[in-house]
Amino acid sequence: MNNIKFVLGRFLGAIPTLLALICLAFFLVKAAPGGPFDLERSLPEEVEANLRAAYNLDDPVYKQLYKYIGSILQGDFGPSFQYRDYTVTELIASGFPVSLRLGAFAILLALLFGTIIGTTAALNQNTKLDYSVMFFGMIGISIPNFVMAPLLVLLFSIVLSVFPAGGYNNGAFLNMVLPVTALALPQVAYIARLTRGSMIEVLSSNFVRTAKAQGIPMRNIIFGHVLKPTLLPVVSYLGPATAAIITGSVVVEQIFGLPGLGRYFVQGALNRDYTLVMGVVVFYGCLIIAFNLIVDTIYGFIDPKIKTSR
Amino acid sequence: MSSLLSVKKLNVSFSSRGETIHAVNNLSFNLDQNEILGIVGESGSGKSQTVLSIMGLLESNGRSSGSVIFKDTELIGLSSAELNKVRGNKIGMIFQDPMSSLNPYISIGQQMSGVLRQHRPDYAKAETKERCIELLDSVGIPKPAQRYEGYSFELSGGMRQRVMIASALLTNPDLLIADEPTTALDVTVQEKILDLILEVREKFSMAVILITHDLGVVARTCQNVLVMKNGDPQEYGGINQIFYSPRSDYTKELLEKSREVSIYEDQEEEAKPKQNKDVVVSANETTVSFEMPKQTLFSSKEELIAVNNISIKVYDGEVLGVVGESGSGKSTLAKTFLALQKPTSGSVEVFGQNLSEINKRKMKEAHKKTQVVFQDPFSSLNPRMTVYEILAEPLNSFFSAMSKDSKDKDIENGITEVGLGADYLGRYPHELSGGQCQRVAIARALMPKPQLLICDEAVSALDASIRGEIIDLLLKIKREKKLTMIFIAHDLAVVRKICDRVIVMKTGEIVEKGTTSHVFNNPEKNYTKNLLSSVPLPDPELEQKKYKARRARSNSSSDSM
Amino acid sequence: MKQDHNNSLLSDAWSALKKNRASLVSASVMLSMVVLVLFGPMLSPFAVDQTDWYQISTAPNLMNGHIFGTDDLGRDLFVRVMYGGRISLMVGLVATLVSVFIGVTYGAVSGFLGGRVDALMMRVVDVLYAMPFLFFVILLMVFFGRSIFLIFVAIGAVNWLDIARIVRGQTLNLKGKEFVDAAKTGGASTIRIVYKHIVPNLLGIVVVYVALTVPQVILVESFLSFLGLGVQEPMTSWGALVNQGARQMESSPWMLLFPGLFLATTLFCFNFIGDGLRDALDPKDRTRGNE
Repeated sequence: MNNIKFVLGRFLGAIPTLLALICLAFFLVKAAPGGPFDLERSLPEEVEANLRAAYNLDDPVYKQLYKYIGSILQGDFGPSFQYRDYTVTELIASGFPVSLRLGAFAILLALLFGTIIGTTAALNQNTKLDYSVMFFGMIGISIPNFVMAPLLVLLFSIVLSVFPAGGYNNGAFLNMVLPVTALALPQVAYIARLTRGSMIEVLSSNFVRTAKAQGIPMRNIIFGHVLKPTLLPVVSYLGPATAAIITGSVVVEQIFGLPGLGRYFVQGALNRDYTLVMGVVVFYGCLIIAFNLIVDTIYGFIDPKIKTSR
Repeated sequence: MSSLLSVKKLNVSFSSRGETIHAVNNLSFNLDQNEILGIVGESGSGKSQTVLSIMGLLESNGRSSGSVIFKDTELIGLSSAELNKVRGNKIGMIFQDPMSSLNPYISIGQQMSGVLRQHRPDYAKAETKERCIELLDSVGIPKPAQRYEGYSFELSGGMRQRVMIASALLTNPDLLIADEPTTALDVTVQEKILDLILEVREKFSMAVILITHDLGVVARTCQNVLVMKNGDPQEYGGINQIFYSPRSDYTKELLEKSREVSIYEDQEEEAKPKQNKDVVVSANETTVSFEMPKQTLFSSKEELIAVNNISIKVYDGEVLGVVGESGSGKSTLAKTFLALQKPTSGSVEVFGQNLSEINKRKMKEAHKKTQVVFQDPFSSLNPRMTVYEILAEPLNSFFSAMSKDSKDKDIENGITEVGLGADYLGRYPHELSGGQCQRVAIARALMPKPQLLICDEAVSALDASIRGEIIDLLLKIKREKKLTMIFIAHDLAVVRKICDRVIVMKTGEIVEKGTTSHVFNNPEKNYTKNLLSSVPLPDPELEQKKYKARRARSNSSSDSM
Repeated sequence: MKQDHNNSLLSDAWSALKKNRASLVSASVMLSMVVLVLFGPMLSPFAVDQTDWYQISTAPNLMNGHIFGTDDLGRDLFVRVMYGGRISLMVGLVATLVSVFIGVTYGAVSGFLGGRVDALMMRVVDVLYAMPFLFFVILLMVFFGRSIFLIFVAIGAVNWLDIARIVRGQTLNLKGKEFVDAAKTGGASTIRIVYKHIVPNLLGIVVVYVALTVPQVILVESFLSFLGLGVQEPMTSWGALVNQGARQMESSPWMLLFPGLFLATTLFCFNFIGDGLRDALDPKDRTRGNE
């Protein structure tokens, strides 16, 4: 019963965020010169008519917003400016699976390697191994993925010819290696640093000393006492990590020519395809909010302090 | 009979930035079966490092050499796998801070059963759980089966220390090491924990090493005593020898200091006519309550009543002590006198002005007459201001018309008055010691020439030796300036030394009030009696008597149950 | 007297940096980078938009003066990287100032007022945290044109959340400190308490976050410019140069390597400086050291 309450509370808490997101997008587009809500522009008749109908431009503003929210909730983002034969929803539906595949692999990779590397460094604190992990971690954070991606292509595609330089090829393994690596590397570095810092803090806590005094071997202390509190900050970083991966996927898809959502987004932005850009922003926003919600809930179930205070 | 633990020429050192720091030098002692040994010393004496090195728990930059033989096993240089067969199994250990020494992320049951899984792998799962609950029960944890499933942060400090003790006893160890086990606890809780340690020592027939800075705690519990200073052993002997015929100068000094400030010392009673004195502060049915933050969206609001309907009067020229344990509301009450906390209901009058009703100008006037010294010497001084700026601040706000020269003169007088030189004026707080910081805080409080000085645990955070100096300073100032003082403390001995009148508080209410000698010599309420008798005194014979009386009482009460 | 605070803060920061060799090296690298970016173009015989028709896409060569080579239009890459650096560093500085200004004000007000106002203000921050902000910046760029001024403001306006949270937490913490209570009983006015007791103690954390925000901001600008949504021709920035380089990397890899190297080095150095400062100045770490 308490669990349902807790999840429900978190869920209700996300609603204002969602509304704020939609309103922000709506008014931004509304204020934009030459946007779909700007009446002084010349467009072909049919498009004009479509837009008027789609955005209810003859209604007062609050009604427009109300109907806009309504249609978004039904998954309708209106027609695209640029790709006239498609609705924005159709474009999202075609691009998202590609982006999801890319992003999911990247985040799993980042979690796996990040935590393992971070733990190794923490357990060997102030050794050469630790210092080199920290140094390369800093490099990983400092090389943006739009520099890393071309470098990877240069090395592995052009010089060594191991992996293809681009193209989706239905998500074939070889085609995914470089994009996923470029996307995951900064996150691997970040999660490794986070895990290391967190674990060092936990290792120095008094309860670890207690466990040592109880004669429990180090390996059991790590698994029984240390791992859970160490990973709590990593779990709460998953929200920002998703946002970072989504942002990064925009560049990576561009560089590797993957037909993902990010690529549509950039094309839309460069071609001033307002409806597409706005649709993607709202979609991504919802995604991030939903993911934060899930992470929050997971956190609440792991951390006994939150669990028992419910 | 060979001894249980034999320490020979133990040395502990730490290397830090190329330097070697010696924490323990050439320490030797023996411990017999069932013996209780106290190791006493002030901070930095190496008493904790001694036991940590025995347990192989030194920080990674620590080194130990010499010999520690426990039941024919040499512990120094033992591999951690071999060491793990001893610690937690034959030797149990509990620590100072029960708040952080238990893991808040896993349940109490998981932590306790982990110990048994390690040392008693042949136990069945149900057997393990049964043993844990049995131990929780035997250290006096109510509803042990329920607590087994719960977490440490749901418990009070005293209960957590009981859980620590239960975990240490799971394997029937031969030796229990307790490192300042009661320092973080209130006195009444301390008494119970110390009694529990004595009780389980008999029941499990173990030896105990008790580390403490408090000679009273030693007098209450130990058979033999080792006194340490700066890593060097000073004296070793039986409890009566150490307390009644100490040989080393350092032991004598420690004993003298601990007796200087004691709840049994009668201060010289100054004959003071209590009548016709002006009332400086009066609290009239004052209540302060706090709204607790809501835990979730759906839970209802909770209220915490810190001060509950309190009425008191403080007269001109007297020193009023406010005593109580943590959570008694004594500091919150003091804050209402300073207008730092508004009463939820009732009123507070200072120098005849109702603090909730006066305007800004009059408030400033009241502040000028009322000053405060806080507990933590480091957080009560702004780290980014020099001592000069700190002392100048009250002058600037209360006497803005004053010339710079006379301000400078006042500040110089102020700093010399508290025993520091004018060369301290250019320093920042982090360049001062705790005692010096507290002197600066006192000087700041005296700058506007107040008539009322409130000391909120002003000496609690200081080492015993410095504490005495600050108390003397406060007494001197009080005499010279004819100040009225309100002295808030949990330390009964300090209150006895300083105060004319005392009120005893418990959970926001006044339990007892009266003159100091009356309250200390003839307490009327059980709570006060209990509080007084639970303060451990550096007098083993007296403590023995008190302990026997407590046991007799608890036996008769358990018989009648 | 005001100088005293600054002196003690600067000396704190300086002694912190001195102890951390990586930060010290980073700081000197950054200093040389700034000098190079400002004065480097003067040493080169080429102008930023000057086309050398005889040297199109040539590799780095000390003999002809194009020490970083030239791009596909025959422009000197060294000069272009320096000019791009000016823009990138300037964006880093200005946008950081914007975000620190907003963040410190918001956080300090929220923390100092406390109670319901604080709860509401922090709820707003929570909501904003969940926004895909970079995308909003892109929206702004798309809608309102790609002016450099807008880049400053937009990037600055979205990077203040972290600072606001930290400053608010610090303010709450400071407000509960005994020296603030002592100042109140010492007759200090609210303004004086904020100005003399709260703000000077916030400076340390603000310095740390300035150092940590600069690389974030530079990264965002480069990201936008890389996508063609940031700095526009004839101006350039490291991000825009990396973009051009990535397109030509098969034939002229130096066009990718040089701006990429400068960008990564800058981010690297700032991250190290920020880390070093945080280790030394973050009050959280300091209290841990005392315990």
